[in-house]
Amino acid sequence: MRRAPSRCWTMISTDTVAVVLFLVSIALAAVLLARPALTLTREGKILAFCGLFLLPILSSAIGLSNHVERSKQTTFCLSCHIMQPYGKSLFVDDPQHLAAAHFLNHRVPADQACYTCHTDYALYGDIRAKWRGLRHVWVQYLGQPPAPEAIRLYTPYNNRECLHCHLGARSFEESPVHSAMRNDLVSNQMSCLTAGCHDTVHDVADLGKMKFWKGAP
Amino acid sequence: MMSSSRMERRIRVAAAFAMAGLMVELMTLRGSHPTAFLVFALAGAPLVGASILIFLYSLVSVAE
Repeated sequence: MRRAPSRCWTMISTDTVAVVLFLVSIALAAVLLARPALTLTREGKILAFCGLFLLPILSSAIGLSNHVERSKQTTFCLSCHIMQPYGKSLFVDDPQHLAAAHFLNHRVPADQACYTCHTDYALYGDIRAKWRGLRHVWVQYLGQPPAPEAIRLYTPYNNRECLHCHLGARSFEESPVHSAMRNDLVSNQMSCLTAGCHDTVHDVADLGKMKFWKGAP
Repeated sequence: MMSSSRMERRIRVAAAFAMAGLMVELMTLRGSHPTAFLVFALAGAPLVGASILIFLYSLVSVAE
């Protein structure tokens, strides 16, 4: 049986291509740095165009694309110290904990868990998510980062992000509670995170009292 | 002759900027941390951008 290529393999090959491209670009730039007189000939001009225009643009674009893809990874988000309690909250051994239940049961891709729930499923949602990420970095380095438990969303969580996956899913549609308030949920008039519904998300303030899933045996 | 030596000088500067920028970008390429992205975007990319602009300027200035 033929196996589909794994995401890891795709990532490695893209990285390798990028590294090779960078090395070729650097080598060409080094040649032009050492012998700029090459550009007096026609071939030299073509070399300069490739080495100082085409390849740097291509390399930088591929590099940027790699960075943007990598920034969607759970490990990327959790690489900041301030986010570590949020990473820990993904392992809470309690099905009522929304983030942990999604992460541990792979309702979201485990390697892109933060991004999957915290991006906007709307036009330019990716760009908005990246812009917010840059703002976080700014605050981390130049501002006053809040305590992890004091972190709040900029705007109330939009049901659109939940319904992007759950709307139309059998478990959602056949639930009498969801059916009764379906219109309010779809129109975002009632939040999925309303008290009494799915109101326990990361709960980092109470992590000390929680039990954690230790992982598959 | 003078314009070609000026062009060579600009090509050399452009190549130096390109090398520096690409090296910075290459060093941060495998980094999985926001700092790596920032260095890529705020140091590497501007150096590469500057090299491209200097290279294009060298072409235009010689054409003049």
